[in-house]
Parts: sequence; C-alpha cells; structure tokens
Amino acid sequence: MAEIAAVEETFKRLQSHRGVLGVLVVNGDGIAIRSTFDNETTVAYAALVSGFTVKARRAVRQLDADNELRFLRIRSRKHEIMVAPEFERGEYALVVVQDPAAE
Amino acid sequence: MPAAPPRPELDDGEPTCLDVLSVAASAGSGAPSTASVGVATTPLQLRDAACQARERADAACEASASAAPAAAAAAGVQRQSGGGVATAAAGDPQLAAFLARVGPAMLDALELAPPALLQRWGGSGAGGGWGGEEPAAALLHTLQAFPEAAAAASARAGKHGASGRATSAPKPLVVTALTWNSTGNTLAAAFGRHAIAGWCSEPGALASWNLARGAAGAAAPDRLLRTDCCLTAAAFHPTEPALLAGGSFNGELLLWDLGRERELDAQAAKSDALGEARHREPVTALAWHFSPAEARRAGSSGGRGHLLLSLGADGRLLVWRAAGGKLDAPIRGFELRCPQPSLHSAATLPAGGTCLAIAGGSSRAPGGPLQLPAAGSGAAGAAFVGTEGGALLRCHLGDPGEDAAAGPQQRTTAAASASAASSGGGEGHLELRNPVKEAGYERAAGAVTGVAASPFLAQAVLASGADGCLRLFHALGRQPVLRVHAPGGAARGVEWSPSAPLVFVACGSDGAVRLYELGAAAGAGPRAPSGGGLLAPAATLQAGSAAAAGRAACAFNRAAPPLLATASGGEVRVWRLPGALAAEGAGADAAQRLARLVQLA
Repeated sequence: MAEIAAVEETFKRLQSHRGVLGVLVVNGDGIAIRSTFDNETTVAYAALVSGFTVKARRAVRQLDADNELRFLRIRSRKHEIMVAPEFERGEYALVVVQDPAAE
Repeated sequence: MPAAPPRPELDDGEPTCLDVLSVAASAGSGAPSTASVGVATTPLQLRDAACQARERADAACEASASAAPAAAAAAGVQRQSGGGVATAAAGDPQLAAFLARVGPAMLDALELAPPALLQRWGGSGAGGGWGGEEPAAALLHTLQAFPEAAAAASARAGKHGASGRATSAPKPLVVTALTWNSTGNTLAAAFGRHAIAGWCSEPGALASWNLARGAAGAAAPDRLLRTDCCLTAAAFHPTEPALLAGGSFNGELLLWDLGRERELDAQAAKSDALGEARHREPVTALAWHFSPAEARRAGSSGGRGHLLLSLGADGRLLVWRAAGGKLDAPIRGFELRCPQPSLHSAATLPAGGTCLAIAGGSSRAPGGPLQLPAAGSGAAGAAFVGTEGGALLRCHLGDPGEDAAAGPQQRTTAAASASAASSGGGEGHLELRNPVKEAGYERAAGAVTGVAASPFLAQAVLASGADGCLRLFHALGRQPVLRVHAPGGAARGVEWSPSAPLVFVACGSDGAVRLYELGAAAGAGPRAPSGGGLLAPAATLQAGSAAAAGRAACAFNRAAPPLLATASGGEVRVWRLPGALAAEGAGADAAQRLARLVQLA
C-alpha cells in the first residue's frame, strides 16, 4: 500500500505542475500501465512515444555503445512531450505532456 | 543488447530489395526482366508489414490490459472512470521504485523550462503562443498599376507598339513612394525610377487604389495619372482624404485632388518650374506638418493648418502652403549645411537630403491620441533629415511663434512671393536659412536612406543607412542606443508602426520588407543591447513580385494599423499584420518600454 501512495503522490505532483496536460507510465512493451489521459489518447501516446524512445535509444547506443538514453524532450508547436525512460530495470518510461502556452 | 554489432543495424528490413534483385539477375540469365518485376513487389509488401507498428502496439495494449487486470474489459475498449489504464499495476513495487527514481528528474525537467521561458523560445512572444511562428502576415491585395505592361514585360519580344501606350516606356516603372490617405481607404503609389543618370525625360505616373471598393477591382488602379517626369515622392494630406502631394525627379512639386473626376482636372497645382525658390534636384521626401500659427491664420477651416515640407537632393528644404489645393511660392526655405570635417572649420557645404521625418507625429491629426513631448525636450517640432553623405541632422524649422516674432521682413517676403507667384513672376526671393541644430549623430557609412521619429516618443529616432545598419537614436544622444544590422544589404527606408510603439519596418534593397519588434531588446534593459545586431526580424515580407525584386518601399495605414502596404518593382502588396505586430491594445505599456529603451545613459 505504501507503494501505491508513493505512485499516487508522484503523479499528483507531476500533474499539478503548471501546463501539464497528462502523465503516463509505459512499460517495455509499449503498454500504458498508468495514465491520466483518456483511453484513446493513452493508447496513442503509449504506442507512439515508446516506439520513438526505443529508436532514440538505439541511435544513442549506436553512437556510443556505453552510452544510454536518459531523457527525451520533444517540442512541437502545441505541446512538449517529455520522456524519462529507464532501460536497465523494468524498462518503464515516464511520459509527461505539457502545454507551455497554458498559464 | 550487450554490445554494438560491428555493422550498423538497419531497421525495417530495407536492404532485402537489393539482395533479391541481384539474385534474380544472376538466376535469370536467359530470361528477360519479368522476373525482376515480380521481385520488386515482394519487398513492398514486406515494408507494409513492417509499417504496422501502430497496430501492433494497439494489439499489445489490449492483450496486456485484458491479461493483467481482471476487472478490465477484455475487448480492449476500456472505459475506466478513474482515468488509469491498468490500475492493477499501480501496486507494482517495481513501478513505485521506478517512479521514485525518475519522478524527481521529470520534476526537475519541468522546472527547467517553465512555460514563460518556452514562450520566449518560441518567438517574439506577444500572444502568439509558444509554438514559434507567429501567424504570418496575410497578403490581402496584389496591385498592379500597369497590368498590361506587366504582362507585356513577361513576354517582351520587342513589339512595344502592339500592346498599347503603357508599353511605350522601355523599362517598366517602379514604385518610388507609397502613401495612404487619411481615411485609410485609398493607397497611392508614385511611379518613377531609382537609377536615373542626368536629366529625366521619361514620364512617370501616380496610381491610386480605393481598397474599400472591394478586392475585385483592386488589381487595376482606380486612378492613373501621368506625369511629365518620374515621381520620387508622394504624401497624402493627413486630414483631407483627396489631397495628395507629389515630388518629381526634376524638382517639381505637384498637388492632386483625387476627388475631381477627370484626369486633367485632378492635378490641382504645380510648383513654378522657373521660380527661384524651387528644388533644382529631385524631391526626395515630402511631409505634411501641422503648424498652429498656420491654423490660426487660416481660421477654423478643416485641414488648412498643415504646411507641406519638401526636401530635395539639392539640400533645400522648402515649406509650402498647400493645404488649400494651391501651390504658390514657398513661404519659407532652408538649406542644409553641415560642417565638413575635412574642410576648414568654418566652411560648410550644402548636404543633399534624402529623407525627412518630423518628430511629434506630424502626420496625425491634431488632437489625436498623441502625447507631445514636453516643450523642453529638444525634440518637439524638430525635423530629422538624412543626407547623402551619411549624416543625420536635427533641424529646427522655425516654429511659427518665432516666425511671427522674426519680424516683418520674413512675412513680407512670404507675402511678396505669394503675390509674385500668382502673377507668374520669378521674382520671389527667399532667404534660405540653415536649420541644422545638431549634426553630430553617428554617421552611416553611406547615405542615410530613411529616417523616422516614433509617433509615441518624439525622441526615438530611427535611421536606416545604405550600409545596411538601422540605428535607433535618442534625439539628444549622438551615439545610437541600438544598432540593428539588417540582412539583405542596404536598407532603403524605415518606418515606425503607428499603433505598436515597439514595432518598426525596414525596407531592404533585395525586395523584402522586414518587421522588427523591439520587445526583446526593451526587456533586456536600457543599455544592454547597444552592441546590437542581434535583433532578428519578426517577420519578412516579400514586398513585390519576386521576378522584379528591387528597392522596397512600404507605408503603414494610419487609419487601420494592421494594414501595411509594400512595394518592390512595379507591384504593390497590401498585408494584414498579425495581431502581435499590430498590437492595438498594448500602447501605453509598450510606449513606456520604448522610453526606457531609448533613455539617455
């Protein structure tokens, strides 16, 4: 139960940040295991972002085999997608979508 | 993935195509190319299969959702009210540990780029969202004064007579000046040439478009008035919508009343070509200036309080009483003389004027929403003149109170010249005074091509030089507060926005008009950006057709500030500026920021 509380608390802190539209955690198979988005958006983000993250990681590792992708920031005209992946243990990735135009 | 493979790993199985082709070629030594056609389709199908990453992921998502949470719908369409996708996984200690590790990093990342900062990265900021591009300026009209000439120019085969009189000129005329009338409905363009050697014997023209009539008929001008000589300047009267002054290459001043129907009648007046008090070289700039004394003299009738100032390349600055539609001899005359550093200290030479601006927003109607500077500020009523030699001059044009006090001599001169001009004589003697009060501003390396005084702050003076540098001066400071190096070579003119205090435009010699927004520079503190050159254009507009890109000209519509007219070559374009650059609302605050930016150190 303590773990659940910790997860909830982290999500709340991220979610309460100004401009944050949603938070989700994706596992190594591209499946969202936790999300604050609605189902459709969650599925789309989980599939697309995890695929992108794997490719980005492959690029990093091909440039230098000892290197590792730590963080990914995708800025688009409307949003910013921030991805904090973790490949060593469990292969989860934390994804935060932000709308910086929001006050 | 323990170690990198020796060969770069290419994804999606692309190279199979090449391999199979080579096999087909070697196998089918006797058979022609039918085998290779059959092979080529196979890799295409393979790629389709590989492209379905998204569907595969969806399927995986459904499978896991149905496998992990027993409560979730197995069909994959999960309608969970709690917002989570797989709540059963929330108790996963692995997830909690992961979030404990990664969560702080994500919070740091969020702190690292607060929205305001992102907005600044995105662009010039004001209201355009963070996404970078402002909504671009919208092109409303493309206007051609000589549509048939433009068509003929594109297909010119030496048969000039065939397509009518407009092609009688060997080269198409280009726009030399643009001006909007006081209602903001009519745009006029003066047509002439920029590079004329010697005497100008070719006809020019003045074209006007009434844009309020709708876009349908806007391509061809409503009025097209031919002149004997190339026009070099034009300026609408600031309050009388139909009254338009023009200056020609041979120094003549013309006055049109566009309200008159017939072309012959439209020309209301013309300066005396033989009088002594006239320009002997091209008229380079025209400006209407409101004079309180003149208004008193003329009584309360309409726009009679405005005097017409004309600047010539001969260094003369003449003041005309033209508001009534008549153009007698000038009532005052000046000759620009600035000290030459190379000559004896007392010697001065006349300096050819190229551009003129009057501080205090002379072109606005009196009583408009304009705060005139305090009387002692040194900028009120001052005229700024750029010269061919690169000097920027602050001139005092004898305010009318002083004029009255100057004694009977001046007044009788004016009266005599007026009567002499009416009788057709050339006797009008005019004393040419030197109006220069300050000539020590930092010089441009080349001619000063444009000067503009801010309508919001009389002390803020912009000058553009043929060296491509835009300089922002405080009227009392000799060193520029800000230097902006415009891309595209020599700058050909500069103008402040009439509505947004921090916005100005610069015309390039490459056919582009660039809009600048001083917001970033103003935010950085008063003296910080003086090293300058870092201000990038907020928008770049192609002023005319790309085929005939040349020296650009532009004019803001003062009645409807989002409208900007630009011209390059023979084509005139009318743009609607995006809200951030038109900025009708943010006047007072932005004016204060401009004041802070140009304040003296």
